[in-house]
Amino acid sequence: MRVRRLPEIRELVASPEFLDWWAELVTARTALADAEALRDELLAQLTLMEFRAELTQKNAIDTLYRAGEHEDGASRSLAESAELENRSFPGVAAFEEQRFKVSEIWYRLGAAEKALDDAREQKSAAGVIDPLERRYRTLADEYEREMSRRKRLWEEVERLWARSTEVNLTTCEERVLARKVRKESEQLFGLAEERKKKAHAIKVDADAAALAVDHTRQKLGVVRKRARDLFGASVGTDFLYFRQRDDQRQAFAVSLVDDREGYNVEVKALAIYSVDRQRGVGFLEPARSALPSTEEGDRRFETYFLTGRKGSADVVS
Amino acid sequence: MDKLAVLSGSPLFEMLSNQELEYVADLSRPRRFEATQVIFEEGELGDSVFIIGSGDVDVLRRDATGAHKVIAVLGSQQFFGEMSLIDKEYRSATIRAHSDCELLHLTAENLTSFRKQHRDGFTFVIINIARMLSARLREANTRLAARL
Repeated sequence: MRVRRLPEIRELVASPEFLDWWAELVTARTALADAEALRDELLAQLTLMEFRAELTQKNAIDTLYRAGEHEDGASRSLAESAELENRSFPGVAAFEEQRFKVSEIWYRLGAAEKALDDAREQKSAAGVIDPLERRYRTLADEYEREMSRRKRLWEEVERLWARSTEVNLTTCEERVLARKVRKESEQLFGLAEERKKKAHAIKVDADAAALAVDHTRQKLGVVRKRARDLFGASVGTDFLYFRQRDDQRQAFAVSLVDDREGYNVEVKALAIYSVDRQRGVGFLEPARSALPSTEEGDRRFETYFLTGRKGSADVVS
Repeated sequence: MDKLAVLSGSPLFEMLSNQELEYVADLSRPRRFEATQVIFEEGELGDSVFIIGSGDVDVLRRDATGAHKVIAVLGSQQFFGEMSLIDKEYRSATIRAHSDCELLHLTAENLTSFRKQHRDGFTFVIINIARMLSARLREANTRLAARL
């Protein structure tokens, strides 16, 4: 680190050689910022695309399970339908048997009624009519009872058939749904694959962008280091340093950045600051040339303290 | 914000030369506050002074019930925080941005740097603070006398 006086540094910072180096540094920093921004953008896109591919894959698997559930549902419904059909056959047989039985009773009831009517027309004795009436009432009750049973049997058969129809309809829908959902799942698997390919393509670009960042960072480092050879400066990230010729404990720091918040003063690019060895840029003071001689004192004090007092002659009211 | 214009118009830097004002401008740090944002609280430790570049700030003190009460509103080129800078006591009031405002912030360290470079300029800053405090004391005396 070369020893310099403030005017020398001012002259150096204003020199064409330094300004060329500064332009190169600004260009390299801008290139690095651009490269980092591109890399960050691509990394964000990559992360998002990988996540979307993963999510789509998961959805595709879930959908495939759903298709399987529909297929299982269709199989269960089909089995239930077959069982209902099978149960309806004995029901129909029982009904047919009952129908035949009821028909027979109905004929017998008709014959009993006719016999009773004939006996009444012939004005037969009560000993003849009474047994005929009892037979007629017995057969009528039996007919009523068996007819009711026939009705119940038919209702059961109809209930089984209705349920069977219902289950058949559900089976059909489940089958269609299974096909539809399976197709949806296949589309999702395709989309997931497509997104994986996109993610891969982005990763290739992101890797290239990361390499570009490394490259531009190295280039920036080279430009920074060149300041040591060109100007004899010690090179930091945001400052160049020179030892002060008149004070070994002090150094000059030339700022390479604008920063309103990070330091004890508002730092401006290419401004020169004075720093001490211990605190460095932890405490910056704008560099100024040596103080003007104060041998004669500052006339402002005389003006302030000796004139303008209230009541004195020099006060203009 | 034109730092030099703000500083040269502020009573805190009255009588300073252009060279001195430029140095103070280099030392000062611009700060932005949004309306209602608190700049510092009564009772906090403080070793810095603020000069108002644009906007207004409210000076608040707590009353007997503990509620904040506005005792003054300061505007462009006026300054605050000088009391703690001088007596090294806790902040005597809360300062809250009345509107969006831009301030210049000078710490005790910044003023020490200024003193090293411009001793007479520094003395005038202290005189200006003394003048401001003296004016306030006179006003307080007048009020007290009116009550007696």
